[in-house]
Amino acid sequence: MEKLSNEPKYTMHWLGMQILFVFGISFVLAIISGGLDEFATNRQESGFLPENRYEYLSQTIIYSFAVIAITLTSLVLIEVAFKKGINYIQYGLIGCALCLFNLLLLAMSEKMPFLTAYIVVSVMTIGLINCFVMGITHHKKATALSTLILTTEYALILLLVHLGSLALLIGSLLLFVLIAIAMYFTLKLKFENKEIILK
Amino acid sequence: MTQEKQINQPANGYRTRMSYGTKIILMGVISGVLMFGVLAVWIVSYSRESNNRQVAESIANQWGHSIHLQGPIAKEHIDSANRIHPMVFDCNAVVETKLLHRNIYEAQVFTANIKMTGCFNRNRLLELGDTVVLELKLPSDQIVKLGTLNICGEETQWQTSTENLFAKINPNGPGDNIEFSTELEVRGSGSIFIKEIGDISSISINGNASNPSFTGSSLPIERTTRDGRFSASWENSVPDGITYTDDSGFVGTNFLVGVDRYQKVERSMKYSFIIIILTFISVLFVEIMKRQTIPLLNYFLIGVALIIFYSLLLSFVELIPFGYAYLLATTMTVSLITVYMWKMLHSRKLGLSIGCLLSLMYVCCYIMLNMSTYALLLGSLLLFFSLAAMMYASIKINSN
Repeated sequence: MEKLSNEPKYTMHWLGMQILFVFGISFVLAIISGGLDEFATNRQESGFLPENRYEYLSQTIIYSFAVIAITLTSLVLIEVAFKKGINYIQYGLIGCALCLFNLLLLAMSEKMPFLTAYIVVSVMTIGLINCFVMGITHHKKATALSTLILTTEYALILLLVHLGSLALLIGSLLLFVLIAIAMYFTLKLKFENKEIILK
Repeated sequence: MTQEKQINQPANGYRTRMSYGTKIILMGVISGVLMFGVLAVWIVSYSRESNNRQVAESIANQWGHSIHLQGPIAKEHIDSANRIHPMVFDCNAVVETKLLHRNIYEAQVFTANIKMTGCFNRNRLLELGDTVVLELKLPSDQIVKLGTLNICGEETQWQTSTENLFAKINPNGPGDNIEFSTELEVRGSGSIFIKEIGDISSISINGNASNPSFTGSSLPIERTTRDGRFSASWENSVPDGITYTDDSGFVGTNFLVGVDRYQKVERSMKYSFIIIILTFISVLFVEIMKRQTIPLLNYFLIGVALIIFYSLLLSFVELIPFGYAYLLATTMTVSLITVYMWKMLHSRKLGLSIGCLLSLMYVCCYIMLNMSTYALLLGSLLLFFSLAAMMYASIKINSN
């Protein structure tokens, strides 16, 4: 037992595998979200969902890959930074919660205006993930950080959805900023006893 | 046991160093995966192009439809079927195209200044009666400025209806010919067509347009396109007694409603794979020469930055001209990667040299986009020189 705990867990190899896993699961969940878009089209054609709300919903679903990938990647970084293990199933469950967001949004926006539905559903999702991360890590700072990241993401998506034709410009600039942040973090990764630490 | 394991591992590294062969194979896999990103940007570009084309067409139609001008024909009265065409018909149209901007959409429209001169046979007009009606077919909502009709030196006003222009003239007078001339300004989009109405017709259209194409019942006898300006002229003589139908005999010019900015972005994406591969190879050489491990994650991030370039280019090109958009996107991407390499390797020189290499690649890509005829030659020469550079670098590494 003693020897096992001395084995370095957070190696560069681990980080690579983790990122690969995160992108794989995001890809699968994004395809499922794409299926939800088809479902929303059916609901709209059968008259349950007003057309302008469908437009907003379909715009939101486009960003689901980005949301899932960014959230899970930030969780990987949180795991490294605070040395709190999060296992694969937990990553998967958080991904599912983010995917379920789209279904809830579809169900809610049939009954209320899009903006209200969006706020209600995002508060529900963020609250759930907040509790879950708190339960896993028992670390206030880690939980606060993940909640902050999620809230920012959902706020930005709401902005992008309402921007219309300028969304591409703002979206690509955000992607640029995001890749710069990711590069910054890879520079901050330091090695101590063959293990990566984040400072 | 643990001690032994540590001794077996290289002392300088924090982990066993991946062999360069494995690394190169994995880099190939990463480039392949990154191509899905390029595909995603291409899909976005394609959908925006078709969306933009629809909006551009509706903007252009608000400005004016395509123009079909049918020059003056003499009639006994407005509804009469008996028509007399001019003996000689000269028409000169000067077309000025411009881009209309609405939000991020742009549409190409034009205004045209049309001068028509010609003459009728007086005896044939006299057969129709003491007053004849000259009819010119042109929808009046596309007319910007309407000049007067000059008949043998006398000024007459045109009368407008929704589809036609009319003028009543008196054919009595000295001489065999009734000469007419008139001038008008119209606005439209898409195309301008003028009917070869006379027994002897000569029509010329000139002006500025990015990519005009000349069509109609006959091809122009003379055409030039240079520096965004074009001119074309048609000549036609019809033997006497031929019957004219309403929709034949038109000659003119098509202007493609410009969405070529998207096509330029899509063409530039063709070079994305080679840019990513060349960047990876140069970073790998730096890694080998500096004897400092660069993790594959960092390669991946550099590749993603190179793909975000296309996303940035696409979004900028909708707001500013292509050249500026390309410059801005290139500056952002190259400076990001330069700073990243600089901070990663703690060497300003290496960071800047990677930056210079990237700028060179983007400049070449831009030149290839703009000189389509030399693109293949330039591209293959570039590949030749990059191969030579790689050979040189590998010799340097061996001798170290």
